[in-house]
Amino acid sequence: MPKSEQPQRKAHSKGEGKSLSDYLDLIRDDPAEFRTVSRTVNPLNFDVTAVLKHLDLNKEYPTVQFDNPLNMHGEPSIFPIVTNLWATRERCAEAIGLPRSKAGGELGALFANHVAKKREPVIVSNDRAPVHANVLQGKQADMWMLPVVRHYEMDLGGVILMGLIGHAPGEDFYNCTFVKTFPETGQRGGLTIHSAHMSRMTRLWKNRGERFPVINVLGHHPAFWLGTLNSTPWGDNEYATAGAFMGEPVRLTPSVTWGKDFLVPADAEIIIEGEIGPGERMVVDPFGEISGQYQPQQFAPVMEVTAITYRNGALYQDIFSGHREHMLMASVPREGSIFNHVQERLGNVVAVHLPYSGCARFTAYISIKKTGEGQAKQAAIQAFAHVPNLHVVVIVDEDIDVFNEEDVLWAVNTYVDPDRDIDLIKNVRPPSDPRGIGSSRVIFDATRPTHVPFPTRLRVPPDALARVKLDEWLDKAVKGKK
Amino acid sequence: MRVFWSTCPKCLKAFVVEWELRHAGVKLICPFCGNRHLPDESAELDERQGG
Repeated sequence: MPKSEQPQRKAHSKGEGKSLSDYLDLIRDDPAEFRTVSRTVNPLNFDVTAVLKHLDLNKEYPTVQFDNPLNMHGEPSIFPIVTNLWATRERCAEAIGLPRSKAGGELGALFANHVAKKREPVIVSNDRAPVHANVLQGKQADMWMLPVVRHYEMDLGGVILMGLIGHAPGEDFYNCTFVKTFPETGQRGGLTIHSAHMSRMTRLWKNRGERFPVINVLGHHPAFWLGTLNSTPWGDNEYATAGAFMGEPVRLTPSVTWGKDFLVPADAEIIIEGEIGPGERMVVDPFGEISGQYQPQQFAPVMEVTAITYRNGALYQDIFSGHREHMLMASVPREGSIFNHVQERLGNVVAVHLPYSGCARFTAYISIKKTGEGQAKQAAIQAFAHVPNLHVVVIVDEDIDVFNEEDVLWAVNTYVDPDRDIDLIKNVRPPSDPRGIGSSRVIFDATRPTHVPFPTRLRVPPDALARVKLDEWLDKAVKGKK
Repeated sequence: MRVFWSTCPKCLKAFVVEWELRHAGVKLICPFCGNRHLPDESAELDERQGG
């Protein structure tokens, strides 16, 4: 079906929940935040990621909408692609209703506070659910109708990114996690699942010998996703957590396949409904992952598609994996979660940052108000306990800006005595990474020693800095003057 | 996690694979040309263990 035949999206009507398009309306007039590509692109031929990589090399991070992509059949897709949505901290802040000025150190903590403000979802009938404006079942429910992106040269093929939602057998709480779906055919695809809760759900359904009902949600308001990305305990309903971030209850509607036994987000863009067969596996990957390396080819569970639904004028959302948006979409919630966890136990945390250099996953820079020796290591151990996939924790004093990597590395180079201040924790968990960094952890205590006399950092007196106004004291620059 | 590299016998490009698939009796899928081959049919195998 050519795009011109897809029913057009109506303006946001009263009673509807927030959608992806509502957020894009906030940024689409600013070229630094939103760009479009109207020429025809073939997402399986790297056209999409080539555009994004050029922008990344230019240090430009707009959300990009590709208006005329081809689908996996090589035909014009009815769905434009929206990608690179979370590539700046400012947009992550804005998406949950915070000012852009709150995108620095306070952003993680503000995220963490949102988690406690859960809002129970509300249920609406199918006829009030935009995502059920179009319902495809049987052979018509064809994943290959989507403009699936192949991201990197060694990727096995096009991969559908975005969230998978499921619930444990007999339970009514829902978990959402980002997965990769490899559509081998229109109705069958392999799923790589990394999160602990979703893996546990998969095992529970498999142990019962039953098919695991799941939905792949391809596009929603960015706050919906940022809410579901927080690490919450088993049993938490992530639809309620998402509501906290949306600032309104998530509207749910009975699914096409399972009715009221599985509720789906009514204001999503596109939803694939499917079932994972117990124990069935297929070969998937490689895929370019968060670490900036390829995930090796492996076995993965298999999902069989039962239905595809989409709203009028639906957008297909993708993620530029291994780059800024992939890193930020999980690091910002995690920074807040580490801050809260360590603060509740030690009460001396100033800021937490998961830097890009650590793929925003594996390294944490944490500043503390240190009052005695040993506190840095206590903070690091708490961080490791809370986030198992952290590999390196660097603890610095409160005068070090954890968002300034040069500042952090200055502290490492001047305060760390390798013999005393670096601790290696061995055999924390079975090695899970081919680089061999999966099983051990490293702590750098880069705080200024207080147990012995020690030099202090250079400082121009603050009153001098306040007295001297640069624009008044510097002569006007004259071009060519010697 | 141990990995190995398989070089596709058809297009001679190499790709990385989890060790679980080395002796599982299933065909690997070359991400470059789509050819399916057993690990032992690889044009080249890199299964060094290091250490």
